[in-house]
Amino acid sequence: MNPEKTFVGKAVVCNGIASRPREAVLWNLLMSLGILFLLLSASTSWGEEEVPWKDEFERLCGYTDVATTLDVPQLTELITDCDRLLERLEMLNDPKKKTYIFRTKKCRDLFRFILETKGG
Amino acid sequence: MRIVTKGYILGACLLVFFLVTAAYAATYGAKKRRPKPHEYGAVVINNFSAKNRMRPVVFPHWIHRAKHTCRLCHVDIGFAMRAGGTEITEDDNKAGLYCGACHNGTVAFAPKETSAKGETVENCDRCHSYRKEGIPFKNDFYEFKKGMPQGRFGNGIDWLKAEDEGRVKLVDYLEGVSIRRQKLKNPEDIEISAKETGMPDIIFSHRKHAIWNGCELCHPEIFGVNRGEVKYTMQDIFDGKFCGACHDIVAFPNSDCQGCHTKPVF
Ligand code: HEC
Ligand code: HEC
Ligand code: HEC
Ligand code: HEC
Ligand code: HEC
Ligand code: HEC
Repeated sequence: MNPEKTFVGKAVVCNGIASRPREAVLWNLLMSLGILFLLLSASTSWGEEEVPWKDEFERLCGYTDVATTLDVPQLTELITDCDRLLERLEMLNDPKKKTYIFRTKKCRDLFRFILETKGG
Repeated sequence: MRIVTKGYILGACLLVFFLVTAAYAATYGAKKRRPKPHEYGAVVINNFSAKNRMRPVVFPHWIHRAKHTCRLCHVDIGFAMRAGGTEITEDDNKAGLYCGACHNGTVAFAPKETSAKGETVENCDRCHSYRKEGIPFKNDFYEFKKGMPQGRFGNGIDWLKAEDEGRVKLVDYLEGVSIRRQKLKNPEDIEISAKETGMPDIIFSHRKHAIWNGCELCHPEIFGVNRGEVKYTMQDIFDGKFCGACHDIVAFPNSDCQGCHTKPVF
C-alpha cells in the first residue's frame, strides 16, 4: 500500500463531487448501487434471523440431552444463539413469552455448565 | 452362653445405632411435624388467591407424579422448584400456560365445564381448596395407594417400584409444549460415573435421575460445577439444598437414611 496514492485518489474524488456534474451523477449511481447492495445483504441476513422463534427454540433446546457429546466450539455457539434468541423473545408480545424465556435460559445455563465442566 | 452374649452385644449395638440416628435426625431437619401420607408433596400456592378473595391453591404432587415425569412440568411447562416461585395467574392458565397446559378439558378437567345435561360446572374448588372441607375430589389418595407398592416414608408409596412394575406409566411429552430432543446414540453415555465415586457409600443413579428430571433441572441450579472437594454436607441437604431440593419435599424424605447411604452412616 502506498499511502500517498490513497491520499491522491481521495483528493480527486472530493474534487469531482464538488465541481463536475457528470461525475457527480456517476458517483451518485455508484453510491446508490452500493446502498442497494448493502440493503440486499442486510435483508438476506434478516431473512436468516426470521427463522420463527419457536423453531429456533426447538433447535437449540433440542441439544440438551446430547450436550455432553458436544465440543467446546459447538457449546459456545449454542450459548451465543440462546442469548440472541432471548433478545428476540424479550421483544415478543405473546403471553407465552415468559415460559419460553424461562426455558431458553435453562437450556443456555445447562450448555454453560457442560462447557465449564469441559474446561471451556 | 456364648451365643447369648453375642446376641446382647449385637442388640446393644443396634440400639445405640438407632438412638444415635434418631438423635441425629432430631437435631437436624426432622423436627418438623411429619406430614400425613396424602399431604406429602402438597404445595400451597398463594401469591394472588387470598388477595382476590379466592382460597389458596393446593397442588397435590401425588396425582400428578403418578401420571407425568418431573421434567414435563418443571422443564417443559416451566414450573419453578419453589412454592409460589412461578407466579401463576388465572390469565396464564387461560392462555394455556402452567396448570392450563393440561387443565383445559383435554388432558384434565378445565376450570369450567359443561355437564352432560348442558349445565355449567365450575371446578374452581378442586384447585382453590385450601382448608375447605367436603370438596368432591375425583381422585382419592388412599384408594390409589391401595394398588401401589408400599413405602415406609413420604407418601408411603414406593414410587420407583411402582414405575418398575408398570403400575404407573409416566408421560414425558405434551403436544405443543414439549420438544423433540436429539437422542443420545448410546443412552449409557448419561452414566457420568467419574464424579459419582466422589460420594462414597452414597447411592445416586445419574441415569435414573436424568430420565425423571432432565439435565436442566439439576444443572446448574441445584448442582453447579464441581471443583473437586466435598462441597456439601448432610446439613445442607436437610436445609433443602442439593439432594434436599427434591428429597424431603417430593421424592422420598431425608429421614430414610438408608435410601441414600448404602452403609449405616455411623
Ligand atoms: C387447575 C387448577 C385451577 C382451577 C381449576 C382454577 N384455578 Fe384459579 N388459579 C390457579 C392457580 C395455580 C392460581 C395462582 C394462585 C396464587 O398464586 O394465589 C390461580 C389464581 C386465581 C386467582 C387469583 C388472581 C388471578 O387472576 O390470577 C383467581 C381470582 C382465580 N384463580 C379464580 C378462579 C376461578 C373463578 C376458577 C373457576 C372458574 C378457578 N380459578 C379455577 C389454579 C386454578
Ligand atoms: C403436573 C406438574 C408437576 C409434576 C409432574 C411435578 N411437579 Fe413439582 N411442582 C409443580 C408445581 C405446580 C409446583 C409449585 C410451583 C409454584 O408454586 O410456583 C411444584 C413444586 C415443586 C417443588 C417445590 C415445592 C416447595 O414446597 O417448595 C419441588 C421440590 C418439586 N416440585 C419437585 C418435583 C419432583 C421431584 C417431581 C417428580 C417426581 C415433580 N415435582 C413433579 C408441578 C409438578
Ligand atoms: C401435565 C399436565 C398437568 C398439569 C400441568 C397440571 N395438572 Fe392437575 N391434573 C392432571 C391430571 C391428568 C389430573 C387427573 C385428572 C382426573 O382424574 O380427571 C390432574 C388432577 C388434579 C387435581 C385433582 C383433582 C381431583 O378432583 O382429584 C388437582 C387438585 C389438580 N390437578 C391441580 C392442578 C394445579 C393447581 C395445577 C397447576 C399448578 C395443575 N393441576 C397442573 C394434569 C395436570
Ligand atoms: C438429580 C439431579 C441430576 C440430574 C437430573 C442430572 N445430574 Fe449431572 N450431576 C448430578 C450430581 C449430584 C453430580 C455430581 C456433582 C457433585 O458431586 O457436585 C453430577 C455431575 C455431572 C457432571 C460432572 C460435573 C463435573 O463437575 O465434572 C456432568 C457433566 C453432568 N452431571 C451432566 C449431566 C447431564 C448431561 C444430565 C442429563 C442427561 C445430568 N447431569 C442430569 C446431579 C444430576
Ligand atoms: C437424599 C439422599 C440422602 C439421604 C436420604 C440422607 N443422606 Fe446423608 N448424605 C447424603 C449426601 C449426598 C452426603 C454428602 C456426601 C459427600 O458429599 O461426600 C451425605 C453425608 C452424610 C454424612 C457425612 C457428614 C455430613 O454431615 O455431611 C452423614 C453423617 C450423614 N449424611 C447422615 C445421614 C443421616 C443420619 C440420614 C438420615 C436421617 C441421612 N444422612 C440421609 C445424602 C443423603
Ligand atoms: C430434581 C430432584 C432430585 C434431586 C436434586 C435428587 N433426587 Fe434423588 N430422586 C428423585 C426422585 C423423583 C426419585 C424417585 C423416587 C421418589 O420419588 O421417592 C429419586 C430417587 C432417588 C434414589 C433411589 C434410586 C434407586 O435407584 O433406588 C436415590 C438413592 C436418590 N434419589 C439419591 C439422591 C441423591 C444422593 C441426591 C443428591 C446427590 C439426589 N437423589 C438428588 C429426585 C431428585
